[in-house]
Amino acid sequence: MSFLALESLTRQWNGQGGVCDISLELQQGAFLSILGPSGCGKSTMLRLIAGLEQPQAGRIRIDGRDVTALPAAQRNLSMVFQSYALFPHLSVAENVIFGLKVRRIARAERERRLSEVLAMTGLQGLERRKPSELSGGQRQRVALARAAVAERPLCLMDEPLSNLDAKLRHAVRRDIRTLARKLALTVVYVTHDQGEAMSLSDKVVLMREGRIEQVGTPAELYARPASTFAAQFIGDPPMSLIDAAALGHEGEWTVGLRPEAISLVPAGQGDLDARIDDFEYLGGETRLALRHPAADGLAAILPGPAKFEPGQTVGVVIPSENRLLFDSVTGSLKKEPQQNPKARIRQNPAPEDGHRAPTSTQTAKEDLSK
Amino acid sequence: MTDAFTFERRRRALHGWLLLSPALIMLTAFAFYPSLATMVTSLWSRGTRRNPAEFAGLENYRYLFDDPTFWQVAGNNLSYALVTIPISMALALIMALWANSKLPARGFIRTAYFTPTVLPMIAAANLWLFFYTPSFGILNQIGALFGAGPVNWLGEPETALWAICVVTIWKEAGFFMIFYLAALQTIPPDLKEAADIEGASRWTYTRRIVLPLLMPTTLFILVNAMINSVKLIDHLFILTKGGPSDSSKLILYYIWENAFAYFDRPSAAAMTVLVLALMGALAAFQFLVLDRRVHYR
Ligand SMILES: Nc1ncnc2c1ncn2[C@@H]1O[C@H](COP(=O)(O)OP(=O)(O)OP(=O)(O)O)[C@@H](O)[C@H]1O
Ligand SMILES: [Mg+2]
Repeated sequence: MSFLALESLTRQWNGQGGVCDISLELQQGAFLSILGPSGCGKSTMLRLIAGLEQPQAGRIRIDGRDVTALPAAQRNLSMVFQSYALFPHLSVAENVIFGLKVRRIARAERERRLSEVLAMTGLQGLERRKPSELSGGQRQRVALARAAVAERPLCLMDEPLSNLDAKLRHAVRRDIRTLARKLALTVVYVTHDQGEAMSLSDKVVLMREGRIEQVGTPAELYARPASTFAAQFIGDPPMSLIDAAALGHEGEWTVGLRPEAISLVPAGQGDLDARIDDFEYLGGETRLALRHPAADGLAAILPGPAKFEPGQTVGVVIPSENRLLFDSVTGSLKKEPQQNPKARIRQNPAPEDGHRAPTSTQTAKEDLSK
Repeated sequence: MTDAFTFERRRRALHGWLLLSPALIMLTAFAFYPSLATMVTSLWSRGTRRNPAEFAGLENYRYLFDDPTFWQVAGNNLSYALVTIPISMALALIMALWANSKLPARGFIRTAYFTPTVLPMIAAANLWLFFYTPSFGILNQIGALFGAGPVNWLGEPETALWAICVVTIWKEAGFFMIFYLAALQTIPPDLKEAADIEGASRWTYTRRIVLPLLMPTTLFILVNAMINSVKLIDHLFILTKGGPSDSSKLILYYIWENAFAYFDRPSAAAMTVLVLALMGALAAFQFLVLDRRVHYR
C-alpha cells in the first residue's frame, strides 16, 4: 500500500501550463524529488498535493484516504515554501509554534516541541529574532522547523534551497536529509537542480512540460535515462549524444554515453576523432569538453591529471557496452545496451512509457522509518 | 585654512539653503507665521476703533472657559470623533477585506466604495440633505413603509449630531478603505497558504496575521481620521449650520463663527491655539508611543 498516490491528476490554465495526467506512487518514509526545468509544473504538482490548488481531473490519496476534495488543513501535511512564507511580524519561536497554537496544543507540549526542533535545526539563541533579522539560511531553517514541529507524516518542500549560496545549500541539504530520517518523514521535494535530486532522494520524478518524463531511483535515471531529454537533464556534465551514423550504426538512432565511460587514445585509433575544446583539472579527475560535428555535448571525465593540450585532436573510444540507443525522431530510449557490469544497471526494465506510474519494485530501497 | 576650502564650504552651504528655501518659504508663509500670529492674537484683547487692542495675557482663555457654548461644542466634537473614527475605520477595514477577496465584480465594488471620497463634501452634503428632508426625504419614506412617523433628522437637537456623523462616516470609510486595500495587497499570498496548511481559520488568519501586518496603516489612518474629525466641517454649512441650538456645532465651525460672523478674533485665536496644542499632543503620542509597538516591515 503506497502512502501517497496520485491518479491521472490534471490541472491546467486554459488548456496550457500546469500539469497533465500525472500518476505516481510513493511509499511511507521515502524521499521523492520532483525534478524538471523551470515552468514544467513542479510547483503546480506540489500545490495540488497540498490542497492549495484544485485538480480538474484525477484523485489524490494520502495514507489510504482520498483527500482530493479536502482542504489543505485536513490533509495532515506540512509544507516548506519556496519563499519561506514566514510571518514577518512574529519572532522565530512564534513562527514555529504558530500552527501548534492554532491547534490549541497545550503550552508545555508546545514548549517541549519548540526547544526540540530548534535544537534540531540549530536555531537556539535566535528564538526572539524577527525573520527580517535573520540570514537567508537561518530563515530557511525556520521554515524547516515550522514544518518539522507539526510532526506530520508528509512534508512538501518547494525549492527550499534555491535562495541559498552553494556552500549553505550543501549544509542545509544535509540538514533536510537528517531531519527527514530522524522524524521518519515522507518527503516530496521540488527542485530544478539535478545534483540535489540525485543526492537527496530515494526516488526521482523527472518532469517535462507538465508530464512525467521518467520515474526511478537516482541510479536508474543516471544509468538508463528514458529519453534524450532525461539523458541531457541528469548528470554533470550530462550524457553526450552522438549521431549513430558516425559510429556505424544502422538506422535513425542517437547514441547516448556517460562522460566517464569515454576513454581517449591517440588520434585515428578510436571510434571518433574529436578536438579538445577545453579542459579542467579538478584534482581527482580531469574534465574535457570535446568537439565533433556529429556529437552534441561530447565530454569526457578522466581520472587524474590530463596529458592533453587544448586544440589537440584525439581519438575517442566509445565502448559498445556503454552505449544507449535513443530514437532520433521521438528521443525515447529503444534498446538496452548489451551486458553492462560497469554501470550496475538493475535488472528490472524501466517503464517503456515514461508517463506511467512505476511498479512497486521501483520503490524506496531502504525503510527510513527504522 | 585655504581660500579654496572656504570657498567650497560656502558654496555647499549656499547650495543647501537653496534646496531648502522652497519648503522653508512655503512653510513659513503658510504654517509657522500664521501659527505664531494666532498665538500672539490670542493674548491680546479685542480691539475696536475706540479702544485699541491691548495685551490681555490669558484673559481670552479664561473668557473661553467660562463660555458654556465652548464646552458644548468641545463635547460635541468629542462625541463626533469618538463615533466617526472607530466606525469609519472599522467599516473601511471590513470593506477592504471584502473587496480584496476573490469576487466576481471586484473592480466595480472598489469603485463603488470609493465614489463618496471623490465627491466634494459640499456635493455630498447636498445629497444627504435630500435624504434627510422631513417627509419627502428617502429616509422618512423608507421609515413610513414600516409605519414609522416622520423624523426631522437635522432639525432635532437629539438627532442632528448623529446625522452629521453618518455623513462623515459615509464619506471617509471609502477613503480609508483605499489605504487598507493597498496595504492588503502587499501581504504575500503565501502567508495565507502557510496559515491554511497549519489549519488556521479565516478568522484566525485575519486576527493573528492580517491585522498585525496592517498596524502601520491603521496608525496612519488613525492620525488622518483624528485630523479630519476636527478639520472636516464643510457639510455643517449645508446641513445644519451647527444648529439646532448648537447641538451639532463642531469646534472648527465655532472658530469660524467667532472669527468671521462675530468678528471676535482673539477668542477664535485662543480656540485655535487649544486645538493646535491638542492635535500636537495626540500626534506626539501616536508617533512616539504607539509607533514603537507597531511592526514595520
Ligand atoms: N495560476 C496560474 N495561472 C496560469 N498559469 C499558471 C498558473 N500557475 C502556473 N501556471 C503555468 O503552469 C506552468 C507550470 O508552472 P509551475 O509554477 O508549476 O512551474 P515550476 O515547474 O514550479 O517552475 P519553477 O521551477 O520556475 O518554479 C507554467 O507554464 C505556468 O505559467
Ligand atoms: Mg516552482
